[in-house]
Amino acid sequence: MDITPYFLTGIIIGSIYGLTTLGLSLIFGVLRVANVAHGAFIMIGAYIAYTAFVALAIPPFASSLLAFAIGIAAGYLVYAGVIKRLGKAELNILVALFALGALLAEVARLIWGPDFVGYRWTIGSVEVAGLQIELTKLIGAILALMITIALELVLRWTYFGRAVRAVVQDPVGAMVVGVNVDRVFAFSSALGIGITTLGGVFLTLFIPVGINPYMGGPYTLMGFVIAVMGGLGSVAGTYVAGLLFGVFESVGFYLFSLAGFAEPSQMALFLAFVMLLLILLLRPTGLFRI
Amino acid sequence: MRPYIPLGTYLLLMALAFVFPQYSKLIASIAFFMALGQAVNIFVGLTGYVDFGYVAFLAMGAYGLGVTVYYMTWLGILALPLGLLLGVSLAASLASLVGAIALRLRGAYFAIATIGVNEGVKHLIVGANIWGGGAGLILSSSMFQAFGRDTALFLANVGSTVLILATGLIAVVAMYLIQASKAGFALAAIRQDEDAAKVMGINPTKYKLMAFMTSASLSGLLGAAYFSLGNMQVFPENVFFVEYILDGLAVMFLGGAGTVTGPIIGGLIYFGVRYLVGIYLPGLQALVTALIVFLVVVFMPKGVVGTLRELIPSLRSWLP
Repeated sequence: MDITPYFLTGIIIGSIYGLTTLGLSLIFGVLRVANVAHGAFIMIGAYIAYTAFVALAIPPFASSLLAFAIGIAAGYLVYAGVIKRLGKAELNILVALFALGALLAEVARLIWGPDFVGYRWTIGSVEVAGLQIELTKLIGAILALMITIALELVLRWTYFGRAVRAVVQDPVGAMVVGVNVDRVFAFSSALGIGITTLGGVFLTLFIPVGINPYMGGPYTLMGFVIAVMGGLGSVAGTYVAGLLFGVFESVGFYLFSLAGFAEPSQMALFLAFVMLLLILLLRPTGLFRI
Repeated sequence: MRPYIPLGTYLLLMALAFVFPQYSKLIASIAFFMALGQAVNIFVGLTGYVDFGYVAFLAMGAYGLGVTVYYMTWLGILALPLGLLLGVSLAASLASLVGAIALRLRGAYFAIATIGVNEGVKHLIVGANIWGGGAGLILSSSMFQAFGRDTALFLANVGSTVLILATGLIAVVAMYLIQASKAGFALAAIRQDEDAAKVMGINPTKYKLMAFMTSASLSGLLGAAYFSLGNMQVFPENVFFVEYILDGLAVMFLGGAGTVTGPIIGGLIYFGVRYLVGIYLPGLQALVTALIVFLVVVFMPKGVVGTLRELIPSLRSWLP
């Protein structure tokens, strides 16, 4: 059978994967901190989209702004309360973030309950290469690409962006030439988690019944696979890696379901984990140099 | 160092489990936290690295014993030692595989590499439908057949508790031996400054791998004793439950990372808190666990034992 539809589906979801991973990559690139609570912030974004849509009839593209604002506040708090406070104690930062992720999941369970929830928002569909694609998904994917480009432009052309890139290259050197490193750290943490919760909103367009307090775990794993593949800290690399991962997942799912003996979605996640180990072992700086 | 408190605690609890078998399950749940913290401590406390996929080692141990009893019931009582051996070997093999790849990586990169190990192994077992797949292994009838009904029930009740306590005891001894040997100094040097240690001729990967495999083997034994022997079943949703790594970290950090007595004191406090939360705030145990880990790591990173030692230096030899 033709795998073009799976390829196309993969590209579209991959665009969202790229978007949701930008924050993880930015935070690692700038602060050298692995945000192991990543998936929990995606989950928060997803619940914001769900609540806004179901309770207030606000469409996700509008509620993504709210999620972005909440994520920025959360990201600042994470920096000031955990990362800055613990400073050089890397083990403690990692464990604290891991516990924070679990804590957010439990708080979400208290607020929204333990069940899978979701919503469906349809505004029609278009046909691309013989495949019916929902318009919401297509717009989501295009917006994700635009946000990625916007972030890349910010990092390339603004003072803040140059300061961020200076800190990525050499934090001490940046401090010597007068960059306020502390502010760059705070900004990057806030922006990174803001983009992550925003990505969580976009993700809900693709998982009509997949919102759950514990949904974050697989997205943390997936996020690290994509971020490491794209080279931690590289915006364009991360986005392209997201596209690749989407295609890989979609086509892999199809091939595993052909094989018949295995549970396809579970095997796709197992392979994601194997990929992560292999990339870290062979090319820890990422697959591309962009 | 006076090893009386850690060794004495485990021996006392073992004696209690024999004398009062009706309280055996209660002792087992306290001992599980202690032994888990003790095993986690050998890796995390000694190296300063953290493995978020750690629960897979508990699962490997549980599957080692479970598979042996389930598929080789004809072994009779021999299935127990052979199964435990298989469980420990599976955990050690997984640790050597993960460690050989991931322990070359530093700090955060190592943590990233391990983040999928637990789920990855679980997806393999459920996805490829091996060892009972998603349905798991129910061991009670195999255990009745292999060990005889009375022996099986005794093993599940008192036997598993004693084995859990023995795991904690072995972990204490292992911790002493490591800290008193060259490896202990090497690990201390690596923890403080890995580059400097390397320059001094220490092979960081070798010592980290040693601590990792010791820790994983003990967790394998613990998983076999707690799940397969104690609960007479192995469910993937249960043995791969990510919460256990938070339990282990909570116990270890509460007591004091890198100390021998820490996990015992941490385990007691942690069990007490979970027990009270279970009574007064049912359903919030997981939330409280995450909160404890977060608060302790951020505000009291030395733990109870570390803080006590700082306040009263003469306690140092009593609370190793």
